[in-house]
Amino acid sequence: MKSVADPKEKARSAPFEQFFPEQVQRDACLAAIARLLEGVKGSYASVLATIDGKPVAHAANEEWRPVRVAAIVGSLCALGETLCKEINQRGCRNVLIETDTGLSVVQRLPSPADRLILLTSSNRETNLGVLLTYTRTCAAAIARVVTPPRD
Amino acid sequence: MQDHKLLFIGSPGVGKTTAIRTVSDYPPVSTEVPSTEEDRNTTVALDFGELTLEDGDILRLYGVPGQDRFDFIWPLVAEGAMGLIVLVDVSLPEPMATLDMYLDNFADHVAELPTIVALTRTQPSGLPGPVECAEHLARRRLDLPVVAVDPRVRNDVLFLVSMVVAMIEKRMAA
Repeated sequence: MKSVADPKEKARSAPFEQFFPEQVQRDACLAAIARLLEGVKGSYASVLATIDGKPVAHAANEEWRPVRVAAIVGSLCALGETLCKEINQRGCRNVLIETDTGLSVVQRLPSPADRLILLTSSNRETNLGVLLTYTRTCAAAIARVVTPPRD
Repeated sequence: MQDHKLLFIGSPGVGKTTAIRTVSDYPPVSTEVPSTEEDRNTTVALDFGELTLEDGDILRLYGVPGQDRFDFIWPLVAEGAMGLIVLVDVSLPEPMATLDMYLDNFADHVAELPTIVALTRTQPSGLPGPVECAEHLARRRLDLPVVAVDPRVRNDVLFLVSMVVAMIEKRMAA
């Protein structure tokens, strides 16, 4: 069964409070992640992380270690974007990993939430197009409620 | 012509990315992003640059993120390294404890590879220097060269990598 982490519990996460200082923002963020997982058949986990690899929020029906996953997601996103630059491509949209047992998509959120990254993972039941579309929709929804850090 | 892979490790902000950028023949591959902890950028995957020496040897210079949450990537990037450079910012609190953390995490590499400890931000005076660091290493029964460098200064970094290459070649000749 899928579960979204308790907002009160997640409020203890420093990055979660940093990017979503008000409870209404935190609720909206977690609701967007919940809608993502409910909408994509076969999806089973999502992690919101900072671009420097710290966990912000997560929802999963498996025992994951969000701290480890967030760090790996941070590296993956940076490597994907770096590869794009190196091969003269522009506008890296996703880093997509396809395995024998599932799909994972890593996506940097649009501005003003572009210091955040969203990972969504699913099993092989999932249609790739649906996964990408829902992940992008979720990313946009979170971007609408984020409080970006001051430079 | 030989090809050596050198690995830079050390705490966040110590100068690993800067050192590689200072001597690389071309703009290095960098995975820096804005840090959410401090007002600076931080590496989240790896740095990579290349340096061609006068004799034609090529040094492939790799750096890894300093934060231990990225420890999953340390062995991946360290695979195949022939020399190790441990950078230590002595202006931070407890620099020898920080050094110990990296020596412990890379213990297998330290035991097997030519390794140098390089101290950064050694000014003002009064901060731990090469002598204190060498004494600390001796208490750990490690006999490693210790030098003070400024990662922004090309000659400093060239001196550092040439020392490691000399150690590698000495070992290969033995």
